[in-house]
Amino acid sequence: MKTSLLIVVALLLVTPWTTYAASLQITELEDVNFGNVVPDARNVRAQIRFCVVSDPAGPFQITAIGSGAGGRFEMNHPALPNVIDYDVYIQRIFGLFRRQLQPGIPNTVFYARPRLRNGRCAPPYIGLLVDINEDALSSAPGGDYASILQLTVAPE
Amino acid sequence: MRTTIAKALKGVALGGTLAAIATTGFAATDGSIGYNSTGTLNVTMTVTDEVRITNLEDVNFDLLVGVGGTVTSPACIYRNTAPGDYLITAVGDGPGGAFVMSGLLPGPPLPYSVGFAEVTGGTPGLPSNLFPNTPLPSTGAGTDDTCAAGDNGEIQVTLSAAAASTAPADSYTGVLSLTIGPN
Repeated sequence: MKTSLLIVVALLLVTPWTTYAASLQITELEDVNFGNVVPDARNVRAQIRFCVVSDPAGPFQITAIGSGAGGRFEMNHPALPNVIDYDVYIQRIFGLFRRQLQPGIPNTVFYARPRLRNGRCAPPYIGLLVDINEDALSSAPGGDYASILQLTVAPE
Repeated sequence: MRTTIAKALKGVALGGTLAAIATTGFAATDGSIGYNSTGTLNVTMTVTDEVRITNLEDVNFDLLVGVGGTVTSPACIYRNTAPGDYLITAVGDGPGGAFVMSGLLPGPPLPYSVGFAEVTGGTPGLPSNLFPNTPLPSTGAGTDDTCAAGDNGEIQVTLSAAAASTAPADSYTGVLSLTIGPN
């Protein structure tokens, strides 16, 4: 009984501070897999979508960091020093707005809303586009290339 | 009597595919709820192992009067993955891929033989015989698909004196296909 009372008091004390801080979550992320790519003279692109929920609703900024040196967006060959650079873009699904992300540089993009009552993400979803230029591919030795991309969202 | 024998070379490149997809050990992860939220995802791709043969030229024995000879074509062998080991396979347009030239008039085809030499620094090495549909392991494919520094292969087509001396007067042609594959 005393313990419950203490918890309630503690929550009351904490609540005024926490309600004013936005709470965000980046969710529904998927891996980006280009599959088999022939290193000929063409650009390649892969796209996924993900969601950002915010309570309360508000604009957010997003920062992307790759697994290359200095956060560069590059995929590594498992055995060779060769890397394949890629570009990262954020885009509103079904929208024309698109913005290129630079490693480690926050970019304000969209407005996020609280999660829907059914627990699902409130639209719009956000598109993540990964582009590889033909020049980056044309000299690439065969093999499996991999990279880790970290996305961080924070209130604007 | 004027006998002209012309041959065409045709190059084919085959790309092998590396089957496995790279993994970084985990799948995409969503961020946790908080003032900041960080998620991670993998970006992966498999670049296929590619080879290519280019810079081939038609070879022509021109006028033959009972003597054989050897004519050559340059070849640029490219592979995007080191080391540049590859297989070269030749197929003629005779039965079963036989290396033969056919005349315009009815008559027996004219057989020829094919050799392949790796070229280093502009100098052909010791040639190896190619047999129809039989891959020949070779090395030294370049990673420059234009061979700007010089071609790295030579196709040698030989007509024996015996075959030339018994051939009826005619114009003979054949098609030689060369296929490169990763090794």
